[in-house]
This record gives sequence, structure tokens and C-alpha cells, in this order.
Amino acid sequence: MSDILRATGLTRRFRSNLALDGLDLAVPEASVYALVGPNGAGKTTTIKILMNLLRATSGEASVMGRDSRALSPADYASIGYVSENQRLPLWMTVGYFMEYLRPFYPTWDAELATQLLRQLDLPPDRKLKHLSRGMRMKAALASSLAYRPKLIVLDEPFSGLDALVRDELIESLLDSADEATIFIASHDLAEIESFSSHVGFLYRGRLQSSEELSALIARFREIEIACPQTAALPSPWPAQWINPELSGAVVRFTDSRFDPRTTPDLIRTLFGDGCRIDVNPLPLRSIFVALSKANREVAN
Amino acid sequence: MRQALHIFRKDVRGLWIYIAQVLVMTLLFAVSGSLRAAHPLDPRLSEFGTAFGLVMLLVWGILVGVLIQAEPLVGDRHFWLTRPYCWRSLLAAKLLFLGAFILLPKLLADMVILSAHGFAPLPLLPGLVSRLAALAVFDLLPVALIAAMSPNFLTFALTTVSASGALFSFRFVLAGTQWSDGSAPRIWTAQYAGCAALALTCVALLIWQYARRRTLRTLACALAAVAVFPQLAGFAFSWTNQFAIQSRLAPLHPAPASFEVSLDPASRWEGNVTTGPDGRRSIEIPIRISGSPAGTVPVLEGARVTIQTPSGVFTPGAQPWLNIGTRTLTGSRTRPSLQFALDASRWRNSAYQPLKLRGTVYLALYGHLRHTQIAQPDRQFDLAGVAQCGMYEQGMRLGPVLICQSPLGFRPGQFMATLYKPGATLDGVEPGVPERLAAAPLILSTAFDPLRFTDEIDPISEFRSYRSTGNDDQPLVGFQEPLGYVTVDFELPGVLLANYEPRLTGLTQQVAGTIQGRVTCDGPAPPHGIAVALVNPAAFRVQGFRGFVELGNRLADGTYFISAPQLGTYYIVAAPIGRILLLYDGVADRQTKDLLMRYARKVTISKVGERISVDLTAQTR
Repeated sequence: MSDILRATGLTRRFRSNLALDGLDLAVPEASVYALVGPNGAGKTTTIKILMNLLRATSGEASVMGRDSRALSPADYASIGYVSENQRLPLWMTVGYFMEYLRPFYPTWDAELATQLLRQLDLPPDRKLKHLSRGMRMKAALASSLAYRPKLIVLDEPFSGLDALVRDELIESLLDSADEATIFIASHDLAEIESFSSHVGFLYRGRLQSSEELSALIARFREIEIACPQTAALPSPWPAQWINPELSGAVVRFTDSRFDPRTTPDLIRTLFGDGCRIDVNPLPLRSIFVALSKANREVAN
Repeated sequence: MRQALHIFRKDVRGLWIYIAQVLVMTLLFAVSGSLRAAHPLDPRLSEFGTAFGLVMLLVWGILVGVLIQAEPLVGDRHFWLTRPYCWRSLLAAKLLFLGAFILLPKLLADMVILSAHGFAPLPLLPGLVSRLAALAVFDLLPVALIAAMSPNFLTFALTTVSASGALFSFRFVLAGTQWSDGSAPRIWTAQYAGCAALALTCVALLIWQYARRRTLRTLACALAAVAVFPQLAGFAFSWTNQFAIQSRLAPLHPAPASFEVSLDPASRWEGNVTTGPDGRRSIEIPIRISGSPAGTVPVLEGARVTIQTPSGVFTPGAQPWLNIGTRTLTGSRTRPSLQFALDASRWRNSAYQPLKLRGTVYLALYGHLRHTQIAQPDRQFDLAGVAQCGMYEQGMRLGPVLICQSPLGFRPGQFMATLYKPGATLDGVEPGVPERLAAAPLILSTAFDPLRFTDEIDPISEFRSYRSTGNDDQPLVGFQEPLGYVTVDFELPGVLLANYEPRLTGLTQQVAGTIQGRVTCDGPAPPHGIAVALVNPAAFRVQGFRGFVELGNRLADGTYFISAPQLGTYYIVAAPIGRILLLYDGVADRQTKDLLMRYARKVTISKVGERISVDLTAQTR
């Protein structure tokens, strides 16, 4: 599977602030790739550089095999981009907005456009300026899906939307997922977990991890060890065990490289045989929190 | 092209209210311009027309701003940036829009106005189109470039207002220099070069900004161009270089050797040296320029002069001296002269010994004189294809006004309004120096400007000249144009500067006699002093007060000295300077004239060289 998006050594500096610090990223074709990270991690900057909205200070980025700085109208005809911050022509009605965009795209599917408006419950005769924020996002999404783009790039599409609108957006996205690669930056980890195939974790401009969601979920476990007497954190502490907490005789941590064959042996080696071991899988949200917390502690 | 038309249609739909605003203003512009043809004396229409120029610029600027800001080039949040827009189509759509809703309506409005003024618009179409091109390149595209570099309309508006203010201030700062002096004729070459460079840069940067959206670099280039190009133009087009270019472009190329520059002894004793409060002397040396080709009149437009004294050579003042061409004499006669200033010590060291003046004079040669007699008031007459002129009565108190109108700017040249008595022949009207001119020639522009680009919004250029004339005088309007430019070297030996001081002796045949005496006031001394005037009694009527002869010199010791140009009888009056100037300008009212008459003295010069002593009283109470 080739990479539809690729970044190598991507750096972007805003005066003294380093937003991206040598980012390396590869998004496989036909994947649903979620780029997650705390606020200020560099998600939006990454997307803007990929979309040629922003210039990188150094490094390279390519989109569909083309240098992102040289994206042509023909390339944009295959890309659907929706961002929470996008400024739409508010004077247009929803219907005219779709009608206006149609001639720009050779692959525009009028039937699909109508279907999307209906599916997303968008009134064609309503001006964009008279729509709520969620409705505008839906209008932007509809206008970005109607031409069946090969690549859909979404920057915080669910931010500030109610649950119903989120579901509608996700439903529309999933309908397109078979034909397109979806690259999404979002805080809404619960939604992302429901349909992402790959996840990249961005922290302070660097990609900490990037892998398939199933592999990520599989290697993260919350482990609780309860010993008969008061325990102490053994030394040296394994690096893959993050965010350790000691509470009397109970030790809790997150194992970032859980292996059911080797991890229990390692625990017994460090804590002895008399301890009770509870191993629990983590949802994406907890993994994100654990990673963020660990990174912050390392940074401090 | 299809995409450009698609975007164009979108802009028309989205900006209809701004389009309507521009179209309504253009319509009003056409209507007011046409009404002006029917009511040439209505001052409200003139003021309205002037104000309209500014309003048109304002609504055009707003339209350009909202048009470009429909797809802003600055920022990374605009929806169109990630849509398959071709920048060429986008730019083409914007230019098409400007053409359709600014230039085309303006063209139609201009044609309507020209028709209303009696000018056939179709033969003028090339000129109209070139003016629109100038409007687009010099006005609309720079504004479009500002809009293309602005993140939003507010920033655009503030930047445009600031840039306009800076431009205005810049012109204000340059006031008095050769760059802003409308009568410094060569400027157009430098201005055209600078403007062309800026316009080309503007177009290039606009294209670059649309292609690359590199706003900071575009802005840096624009600022650099604004800072550098005027300097380069000033460096490459010095006044003398501009004169040389002008000489080559003009149709007439006379040989400099055929010209001769000599002193004009006829004007020597007329007080050509004045003394400032610090002892600094302002000196004016009348000269004669002969050898001009037949049918042409030389006009002095600049000079370089060095003064050679027995003790060395010096160059007075910054050179070349500009705008020194003429000094107005009695009535409307003019003469060329060299004018410069010397400080008190240099004056003392050089005034009383023969000097040699060497240098170069820069002459414009006017010719191809055409006249049109305006036989009937309130009707327009064609002035040999140059302008439509008419004399309009404004009522008893204001006197008639001469109005000349020309489509698409006046041709470079001199207009002259001559008043003559019915029955007089026109033979006495000499080219350039008509004897019966009611006023000095009105010089509109002396540049031989082959392109005549102008930033005027109004397609009709107009000048008005108010005249206080007698009822029996009839107007004759003349026009002559610059045919050639020539640089002539000269050498004037034996110049005695002291000879140009006012003095009471040494009269020649050119001054018939002099009157001198003391001036006393019948009240407190006026703050600006007393002036003395000599008036021809044949015309010295309370109704008229024409026939003014000469302003006199009032010396520091309270005496005055005034020269009479020919034998005859005169009235001589002394009064506060302001009152005398009212008389001189022909605008003194009856009460002022009565006051002047109160102490007027009659004097008669009966033989050449006669010196009459008359003490005067000035009415100052």
C-alpha cells in the first residue's frame, strides 16, 4: 500500500515557537488516519502545510505523490478539505454554494450532492450566514464529498458540534470511506476510535507514534499490581511502563508495549510472585491521556 | 476562460449592491457632466463635478476592495484556497469585472458628457480608451494590489486611505520643488517614466501575488518600488535631461547658433534690484532673445549662469534657475529676464564693477498661433480644433467670464484672451506679445507632451478667466503651442549690477520722465506700508479705473520715485498697498476708488527727461 500523504523532517517555526519539529509522517492509501495530540501539538499546522496553505520552514511534504507546494487545481479536484476554521462565502445559499462549486470538479456527482444535502438535512435555500456552526460544517462536508475525492482531509470537524451532528458527519464520512483516504485531526477520540484504521500521536511537533489502531489498542494496557505488603517502585523502572502510581501496596501504570507472553514474567521478576496482577485494555481516549501525561512529565 | 466567466458571474451575483452603487454614481456623473454643458456658469455644477471625482474614486475603490476580498489572497482559512481554482482564471475574472463595471460605464458616461458639450465622441474614442487604460493602470491596479495584499476589507481600507494620505503628503512636501511645479514643463518625462515603472511593477506584483500568494515578499517589492523608482526617475531625468528629451521629441529643431541673447537696455531703470531686510539683493536683469525662427516666440524657461568678476567666478543660487521666464509689466506685456539674489557683502564687492555673465538659457519656442473671435456672447466658438471657447456675461458686478473647454485635456500650449476695440484691425496682435491683451497669457502647460495622460476623472477640461472689461471690448481668444526647445549659450560682458538699482538719474528715451517727492499719511501709517501708482487719466474714471500705468517705488526715507513711460498727463495716487493692489487687479470697488481719488494729483510730463517733484498725501484714516 503506497502512502497518499507523506511528510519528511517537516519543521515549521512561528517566530520563537517551534510548531513542528522534524515531523515524519506517512498515511497509507485507503486508510482512515487520525492524527491526535494535545492542543498546540501541531496538528492544524501539519494539515495546512499538506494542503499548501502554509509553507514549511524546512522539510518536505507530498500529497498523492506530488510536492505539497506544487499542488495544482487538478490535484485539489481530488481532495476534499474541511476545517473548523474555514471561511465560507456566507452570502451564498447552500444550494448556490453547491451549484457554484460544481463546474470546478469534473467528477462532481449531482445526484450524490442532492443526496448529501438530504442526508445532512441541509436546506438548499438557506444562506450560509444563517446556518449554525454545525450546519455550516455539514455544508462544507457535503461540498467536499460530492465529487468523490480520493483524499478527504478534515481538521477538527467535530469540534463544538452536538452528538447528532457528529453522527451525521461520521455517517457521511463512512459512506465515502470505501473510495477515499481520510486524514483527520481531532480531539474527539471516541468518534475517531469508531472508524479510524490508523492513529498518529503528535506531541510538540513530533510524531510519537503512528500505527494501525488495532495494534495501538493491543499494545496499551492498564496494569494494576497489588502486593501483600507495602510496595516500592523497583529500580530500574522499564521505560515502556508509563505514568506509574504507587498507592500503599498497589502499583498502577500503563504499559505501552504490552505483550501477553513476556509482560507477566517481567512483572513477577520485578515485584515477586505474591502480587496480584490485573491487566485491562484501554480505550483510545485513555491511551491518548496516558501518552500526553507521560510526555509532559518527560518534558518537565 | 469558462472558469473565469463562472467566477465573474458569481461576483456579479454576490456584489450586486456594490455594482448598483457604482452604476448609480456613474449615471449621476454623466448627468451632472451633461448639465454643466447647458449651464456653464452654474458654480454648483462645477463644485459638484469636483466633488464627484472624489466620490467616484471612493466607490471604485470600495468595489475593487470587495471584489478582490471575495477571494482573499492573504490568510489560510478561505474556502477557495483548497478548491480547484486556477489563479489565471481568478485574476481574469477580477479584471473582467473591473472592465465591465468600472471602465465600460465610465467610457459610456464620458461619451455622453462629450456629446452634451458638442464634441463628437467616436473620433475621440482612442483618446478615451487610452485615458481608461491610464485609469486602470495608475488607479485601479494599485488599489487592487493593495487589496490583494490585505487580509480583510478593513485592512485594505485603512491601507488605501493611508497610502493616499502619504501620496498627498508627499506631493505637499514636494511643493515648491521642480517635481510638483506645474509650470516646470519637463516633468512629464520623469513622471511618465516613474509612473510606467510603478505601473509595470504593480502589474507584475499583482500577477505574482495571484500566482504565488507570497504576501510579505510582494509587499516588500512594492515598498521597494515605491521608494526606489521615483529616486531613479529623478536621477535619470534631471531637469536638463528632460529638456534634452523634450527637444528631441518636439517637431521644430532650430539651430542654437541663430539665437542671440543680449541685455535689454530699455528696461534698465525700472527698479530691478530690491533690497531685503538683511541687505540681500534680489536682482533682475532684463534680456533680449533674438534670432527665433519666423512665427515663433521664445519663452525663457530656465537658465544656468556664472558671474565672472575681476576677483573670480561664482555661481549664484541653485541651478538651473527655473520658472524665470517672464516678468509681467504694465498691462500684459512680458519680458524675459535673469533673476537671482546676492547677499549684502557679495553685492558690495561686485555691484559697482563690470561683470561678465556667462551661461545657458533654455528656451521654448511657441508658434502656430490661432485666433478665434467670440462675436456673440453666451455662445461657444471653436478655437482651431483646440478648444471650445465662449464669453459669458455674469451680471453687472462680476463682468464677463471666458470659458474654454477641451475634450480629454488641453493640448500643451498658451491660451491668450485679447480684448480689442470694435473696428481695430487684428494686425496689431503680435504672436506672444499682443499689445491689447487684457491680461497676461494664461499658460496652461508648456510641455510638449505627446501622450497627454491625465488623472482627471472629467473628460472635459476647462479653464475660466474672469475679466473686468468695458462693454465695448470684444474678446479674441488665441492659442499657440510649443513647437521646439533649444539650449542657447550666451555671454554678456560689461554688466554693471548697480545700474539696475532704482535711481533718479540716467534716464533714457525709454522712460519719458520721472515723478518724485515725499509721501505723508493723513492718519496712522498702515502696517504694510504705502504704495504709489501712476494712472492714465484718459481711462481714470471712477467707473473704470483701467489704464493703470505703473507701480512706483517708495524709498526707505519716505520719498517715492516713479517713472512715466511716455509724455502725457497722469494721475498719481498714494495709498496703503492693499488698496493700490485692488486697483492694480481691477477689483477696487467704488468706495475704494473714491478714497484713492481724494488725494490724487495730476501731473504732466511734457518733455523727455523731465523730472517733476510732487509731494503726496496718502489716505489712511
